[in-house]
Amino acid sequence: MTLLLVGMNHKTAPVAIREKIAKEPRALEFFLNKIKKELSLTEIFGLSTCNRFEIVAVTQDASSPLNALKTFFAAETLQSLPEIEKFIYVHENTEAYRHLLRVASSLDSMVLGENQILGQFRDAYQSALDAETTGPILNRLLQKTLQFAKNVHSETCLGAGSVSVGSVAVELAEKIFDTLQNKKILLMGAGEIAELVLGALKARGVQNISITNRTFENATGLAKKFEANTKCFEDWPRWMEENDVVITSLAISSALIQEEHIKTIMGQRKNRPLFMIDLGLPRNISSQVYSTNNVYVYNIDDLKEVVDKTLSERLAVAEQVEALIEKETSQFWHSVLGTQVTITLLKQKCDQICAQELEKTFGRLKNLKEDEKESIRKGMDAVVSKILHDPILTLKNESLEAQGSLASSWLKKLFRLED
Amino acid sequence: MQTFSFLKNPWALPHLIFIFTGMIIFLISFAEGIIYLVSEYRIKNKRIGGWFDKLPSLETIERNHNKLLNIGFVFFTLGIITGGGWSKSATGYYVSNNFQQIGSFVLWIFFAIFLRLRVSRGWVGHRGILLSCIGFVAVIILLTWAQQH
Repeated sequence: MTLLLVGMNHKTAPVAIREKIAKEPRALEFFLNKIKKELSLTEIFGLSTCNRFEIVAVTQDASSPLNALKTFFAAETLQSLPEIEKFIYVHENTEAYRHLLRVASSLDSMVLGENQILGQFRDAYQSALDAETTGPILNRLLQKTLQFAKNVHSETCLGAGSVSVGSVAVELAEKIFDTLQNKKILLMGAGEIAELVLGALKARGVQNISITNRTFENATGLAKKFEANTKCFEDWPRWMEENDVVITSLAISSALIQEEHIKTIMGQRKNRPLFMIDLGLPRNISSQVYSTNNVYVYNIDDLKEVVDKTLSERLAVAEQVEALIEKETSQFWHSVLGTQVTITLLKQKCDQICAQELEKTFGRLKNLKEDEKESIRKGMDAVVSKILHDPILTLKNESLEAQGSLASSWLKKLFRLED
Repeated sequence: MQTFSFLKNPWALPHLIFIFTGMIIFLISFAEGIIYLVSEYRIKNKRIGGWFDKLPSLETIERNHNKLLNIGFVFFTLGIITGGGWSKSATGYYVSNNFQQIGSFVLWIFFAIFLRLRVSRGWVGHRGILLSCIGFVAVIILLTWAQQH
């Protein structure tokens, strides 16, 4: 038995290639069934997300399905076979299992520690179950993978903290305000990052958004996108009094918002907390404002610093998870390899006994013709195969369980098999 | 039972219960205030991550702190009233010439003014909580000092 994994992801293939092979669940089911039939694979599983497309197969012999699988990848992406080899990776047995664990635990994701992949993995497995493309080996393997990834996500801090400027802004806002739904947000200016931050806040249920810009047309365009109100830029201190979160992203030569403005504004606000995000460069908010009571100012560097800190913390946790994966895969290897050796030894012993007994029988029955001898040999082989079929299948199924190695060692004792 | 003979006065037990409950509530409110100040310091100084991330938002902590402060103040007020009743029945005067009674009354006035002005003057957030924490520490110092004199 060989576990074979062929795939491509955001690190190995550009989006132009990945988008050609990416499949909706229904199309993926059809695709997997087609490959399974054409290549006579025992079991097959596929994972298709925006960042990866992977096929995991259980085969009796790795070499022939591998080339055929590569051909499928080439055909789907409209590439030649040598071309597609640049974009795909191939893993076998332990390496394949290690890769699956890394993928499901999000160590291989574009954003380290994101938990979306776990849901995608679970859905893909459910689709494979519905399509009945998996069997005992992959079912056990994928269930173990999902359980492992679930433990990683729930028991480690791999997914803790925010890893984008927008989510950091939301996280900070939620540290200050208990809910964002009843809060008012003001965007002063425009810009890509400002839109990202505004989008992240809106996704958290913010309803009341106002936009002001020195160029009124720009404010109107953005207001349509975010279903926001537009305000006259000249009255900006008044709008700041009314809003709880202010995002500034103005292209100006010096800081617009000074300490004296904020003092007046905070007086009018009766000191209710004000969260300000300064995305302008040069900064739109004077550094003296930072120390004002109940005013929380973060600039783009502060937000990026939080992102970097979270990422470095996640990297540290990822190293621990890699060690856990190493342990898990070596246990798997030991278990599967041990079973494989037992099966080979058992088959060898049975073949040896058959050969010896046939030799004795043919010695006694000297009148047998060669074709008759061949028929008897085939009959004996069929009897042995049928007798061994169920124990070998059970042993293979049990190979990933804890009792698999126990069954294997008992079989060795019973049949006196020696490595 | 000589030690508890003062409990024979009908005002004594309610007074002690109100003051004790009020102080416990003030203590919890004080603890919330300290958590607020530390959390606020961390947010202001861009220190994100760790155990503090599990705490509720500043707004929630402050709201709980204020609720407790108001409830504690009600008990404190009831404690002052019953204390006055106790003093009147024991000495004939509502307020005797001792530091404990005068101090408690002064603190009650301080809290009453603080709670009234907190909203109208915008003593919310950092400043409001800092003032209430200082008020609580003052109560503790005063009561400890009064016990010793």
